[in-house]
Amino acid sequence: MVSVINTVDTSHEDMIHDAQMDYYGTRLATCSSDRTVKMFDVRNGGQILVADLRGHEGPVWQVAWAHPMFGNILASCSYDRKVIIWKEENGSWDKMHEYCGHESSVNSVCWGPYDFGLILACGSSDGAISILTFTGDQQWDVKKISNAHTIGCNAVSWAPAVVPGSLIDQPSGQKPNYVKRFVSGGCDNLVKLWKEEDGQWKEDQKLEAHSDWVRDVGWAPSIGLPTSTIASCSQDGRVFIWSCDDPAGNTWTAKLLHKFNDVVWHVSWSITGNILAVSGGDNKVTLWKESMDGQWACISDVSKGQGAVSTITDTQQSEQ
Amino acid sequence: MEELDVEPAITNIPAASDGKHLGFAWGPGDLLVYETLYKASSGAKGSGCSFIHEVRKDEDIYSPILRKLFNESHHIFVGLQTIQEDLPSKNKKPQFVSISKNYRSVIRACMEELQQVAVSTKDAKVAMQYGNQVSILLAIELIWNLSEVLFIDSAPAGSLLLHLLDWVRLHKADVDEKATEVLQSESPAEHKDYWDVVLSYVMQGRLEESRQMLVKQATLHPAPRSMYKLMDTLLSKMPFYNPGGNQTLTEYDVKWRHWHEEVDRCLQDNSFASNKHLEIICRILVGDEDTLLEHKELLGTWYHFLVTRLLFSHPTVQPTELHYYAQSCMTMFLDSRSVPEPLDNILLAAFEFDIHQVIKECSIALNNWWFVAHLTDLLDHCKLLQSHNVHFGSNLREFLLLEYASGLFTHHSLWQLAVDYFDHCPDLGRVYLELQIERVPLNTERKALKVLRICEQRQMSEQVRSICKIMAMRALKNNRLGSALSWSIRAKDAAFATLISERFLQDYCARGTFSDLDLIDNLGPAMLLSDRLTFLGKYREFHRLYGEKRFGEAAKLLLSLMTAKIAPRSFWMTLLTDALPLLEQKEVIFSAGQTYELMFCLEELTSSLSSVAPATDGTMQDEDIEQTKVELLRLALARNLAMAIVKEGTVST
Amino acid sequence: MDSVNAKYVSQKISKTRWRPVSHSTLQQPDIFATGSWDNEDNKISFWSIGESGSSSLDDGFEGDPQLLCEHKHDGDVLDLQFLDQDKIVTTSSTGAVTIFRHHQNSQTISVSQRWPGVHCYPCDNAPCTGVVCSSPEIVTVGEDGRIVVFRADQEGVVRVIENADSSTIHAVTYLRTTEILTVNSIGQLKLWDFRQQSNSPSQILSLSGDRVPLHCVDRHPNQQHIVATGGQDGMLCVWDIRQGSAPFSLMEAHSAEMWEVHFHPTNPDHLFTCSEDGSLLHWETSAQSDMPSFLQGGRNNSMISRSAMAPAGGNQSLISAWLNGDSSKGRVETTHMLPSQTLSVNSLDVLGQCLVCGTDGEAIFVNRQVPV
Repeated sequence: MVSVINTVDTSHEDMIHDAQMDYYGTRLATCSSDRTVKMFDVRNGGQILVADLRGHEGPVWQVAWAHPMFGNILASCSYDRKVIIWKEENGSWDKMHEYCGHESSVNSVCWGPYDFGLILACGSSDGAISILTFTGDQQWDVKKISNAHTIGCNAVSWAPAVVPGSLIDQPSGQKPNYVKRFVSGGCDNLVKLWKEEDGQWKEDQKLEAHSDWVRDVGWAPSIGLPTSTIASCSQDGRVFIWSCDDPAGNTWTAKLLHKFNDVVWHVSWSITGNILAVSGGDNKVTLWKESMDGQWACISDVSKGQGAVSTITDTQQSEQ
Repeated sequence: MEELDVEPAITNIPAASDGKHLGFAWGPGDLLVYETLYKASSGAKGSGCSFIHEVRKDEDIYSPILRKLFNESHHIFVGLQTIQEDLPSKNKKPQFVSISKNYRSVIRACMEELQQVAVSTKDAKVAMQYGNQVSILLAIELIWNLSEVLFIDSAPAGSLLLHLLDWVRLHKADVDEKATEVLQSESPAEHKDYWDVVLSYVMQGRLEESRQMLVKQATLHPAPRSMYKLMDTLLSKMPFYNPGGNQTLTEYDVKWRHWHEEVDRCLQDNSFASNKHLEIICRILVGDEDTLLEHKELLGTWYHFLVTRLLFSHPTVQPTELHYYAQSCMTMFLDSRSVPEPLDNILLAAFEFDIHQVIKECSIALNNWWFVAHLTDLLDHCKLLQSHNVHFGSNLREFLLLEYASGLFTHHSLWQLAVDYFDHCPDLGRVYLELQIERVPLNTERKALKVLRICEQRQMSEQVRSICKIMAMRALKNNRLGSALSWSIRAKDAAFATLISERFLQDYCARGTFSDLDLIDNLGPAMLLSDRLTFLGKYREFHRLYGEKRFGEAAKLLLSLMTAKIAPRSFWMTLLTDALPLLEQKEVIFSAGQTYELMFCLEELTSSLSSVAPATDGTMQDEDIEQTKVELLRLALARNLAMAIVKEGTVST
Repeated sequence: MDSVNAKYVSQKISKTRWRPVSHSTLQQPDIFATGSWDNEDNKISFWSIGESGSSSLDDGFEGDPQLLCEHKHDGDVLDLQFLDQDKIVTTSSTGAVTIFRHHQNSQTISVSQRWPGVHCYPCDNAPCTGVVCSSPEIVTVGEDGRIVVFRADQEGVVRVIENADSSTIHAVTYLRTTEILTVNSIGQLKLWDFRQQSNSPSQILSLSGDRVPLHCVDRHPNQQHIVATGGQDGMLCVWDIRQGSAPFSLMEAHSAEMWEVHFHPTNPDHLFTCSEDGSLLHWETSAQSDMPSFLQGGRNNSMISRSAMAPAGGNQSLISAWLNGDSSKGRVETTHMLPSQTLSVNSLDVLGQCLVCGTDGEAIFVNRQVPV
């Protein structure tokens, strides 16, 4: 049974744009058009406000938690063209870094796998993608991919840290030779894959299938197979599942998950990558699962609106 | 997959306004859902709803009573996985049957407890919730029991019917309650339910009990005594197959036919014509379907009808014939208007020996991964999935186990059980465990140690490292340098160990004493993790030797710290300053050779310092102090060199 | 052991303790307390095993422990000790120390005293890992490396030793009335003398070089220099506090963390250990013919020293079987007390012939016929 178990009142004064649970599911971060980022302790069904972070001067689009091995760190991005990295130090949350390198709204932030250290990708409406790397001593190294997507970049998502083309365990003690990769989606209707080579970011693949702006992309967690999987969604109402089992990462094939009647805004993989959640203009979140024979099926449907109606009906009945 | 080819379950989120979107994010287990407007331009002002809803997939897991089921069955599950693969399958069958019975007894225990709570609670909503769980468990036990008879025990003709009778008796126990009520009444034979009880007993093949009931009637009406006597004889003579005996099935069949003819003769003779009740019993005994169907309410279900019908018309039914009788009984029993319920379809599929269909229908109807996962696992161990051509075979088992275990893993406490289930999923179990284990919140070190033990036992070194790093970072945040160092040593995280060693050295420079000596003095081989940590350990050792007045050893160690490049250059001045009191001892501690090396170190240090751009005015004073130190050192070194040469010269001659 | 039955309790059990029985009677214990961990709402609970006298008639049949009463506990119960017949002290993952009172007439529990956050970091609370009490004195230890001393009859804290340990202190026990022993996560056993005002231990004992964390410690009830500890590697260590700084003997016991070790309080030839590996072991030093004196002495618990050299009033010189014990020579026999089990046995307690233990499999096991 799927059911609502808890409701948190964020007291945001305007539209909520993103909500993210931390690594353990014990803290919830939210952000809103009211320019704030809030943080709640939600352990044991509670909801205690632990921080109300003010610093952005426009609607805050997204928040992202860093891996706890770096401490308690949260990144947020906003219409005000800024990316702010917040850190908990001595019990209180403060700005650790503010990045102002974009010329337009920053739409998406995503932390890379912890194996790469503290590394953040940011996608902006100015068409560029910035990659911020913490180098210690309060220093952040910035690499910028200009004109990554014409008109704008809407979403970024990192590839899990896997050694390319090899499932064989690395010799112990030797640091595996990971390749840093991420995927982005933009207003040029394209899904692009990026790869770091010799310290420089290069376009690795350009995936064409969508006929309108790509709204979101999600790289699935690695489940030990040599296959890489990416989900993308677009204003054209389509959700594609891209997969590649070529160790070199060159051959990607697209499979249409579903064609919705409205814009699809958001896709996201569950922790084990076995369920894909999709949300669109139809006021629904649908959960999709791949069967053992490779078919995708909708297993659950979280819809809005009906609850309010039935509440009204209930009251009327009880009055009679 | 076929398990899922049904309409998806719809969950409604209470939200009022239209024209907005539904945003979401994954928590580790739950889904967060909120009202939003995607990428509205900054100007678009919509009064937002400030609520975020947590949506959970598997609420059953949170029932305190079902938790006992999960825990107890986990134990059985683990036991089943360790049954020797190489044992001949013939020897394994009794084990599998007993494991199946164990599972069922756990279900029963759980059901009884739920029933008690449902009855005793005053909260109607809770009572209903528990009531629902009871009915689900009842269905589960019913299906499991039938699966045990048909698939696991795979009883042959003869025994098959006996098992089916047991199955019906167990799940139609209301006869006994009614019988008790009748027997406890003042005049049982006149009780309104008297004949219902007698008939129910007969239809369940409990002939001994029905005879005892009939005696009460016979004593009440002495007149047709012979008629009762005749019925009693018929009932007592009905042969039952004895699988343990030396009678063959054919012999039994002959005997049974003989008896059947006798009953039939009585019916033809109108022996019971004057007593309608006995007449009915007699008709049942010859297996008259119409009579049975007239007593639908006593039978309750089509499968009871099936078993009773088999008992009195085909007691030697073959497993392969079952599906034919099952289908026809179901059609006969359910009137044309009523649609078979999911449970009917599941049981029918079982009678058809379509295991795949049973599992599939159960997955859909019961909304409970526990049952399908455990049953499928057991059937797979019995090698039944392959032999019955189940699609996907072991994959199906793993698929269901992964679903069940993933659900457990989202539970704050039951996650530990999930580990063993993942262990027994050869394809994806490990990856699932790897992806989820790191997300267990670690509020105490004891819990962290438990999680680490799980990872270490499975050589999940990546996860071990990550968890230790998280703990090290947390200890550092809490200003527990010793703990942080211990954790980074366990994580084999050289960079972090270096960072903490630096903190220790900074503290030493600031305070002149070391903290956490109990740890630093006992680093042992762990010291080699990072150069800086080695230096910290060795430098502390120097202080200890010095404190113990073992000057010779102390001096040698101090020098080696610089010459072997263990000490960072920034620390050399401190080390050279530490050498001063040794140089100024009365006896010669540094040999001439050692003194040369010290001088070399000093010169290397000063030359590298002077090559750096001259300091600004602000640090002039510091520079003066440095300069004085260098002068003092040079002087002390020169003096020591002189003394050492003299001394060494004296000894050599 | 056939006489062990699992009682499933829908909560992972972190601690089990028998309510003490008065020394004068030969009474068997009948009530025990448990603490839970890792639940959304943790609890302390009191259980009754009924009249133990009559049970022997039932031919091995053991009735389930019955829940008497329970009370919510803030955070994981990390340790639990009876202060007296009706008061227990618990320590919590939230850093709090609480005294609960069990009202036996009404079968209710109330909080009688609470010290929140006594174990803490600069900006957060620290889990309080262990407690030992000798009414009215209570001593607690924690992940913050502190040792805190309270008195049940005083509101404030009596004494705090800051930075008593640079790593986590896992357990504490009394050696003598004024001395305590602590074990830590880098394999050290530290002796603290409260008569001294110094904030450093009077003695540090450690396993050579390995730094294997120690998780539990217990002292021999009669011979106070003999101490048993258990560690992360599942080894049982027996130490002679008087001699040297290294353990006297090391015995392989479990394949994972040993969470608790207990000498039998009146038959100290018997020792019990439980572990993360899911096993519960009963150890018995089978004294050999060369030391019959101990055999008799230990068995009857009338430790009369036969040595002329023995100091008056003490039995220190008596050779303990544990210090001679050496698993390789077969002098120590071990028996598994639980049926095969996979999840951790977190805690055990033994008193008289009764043993209780609790597991991560959310089960409690009671054995009323421990062969001691």
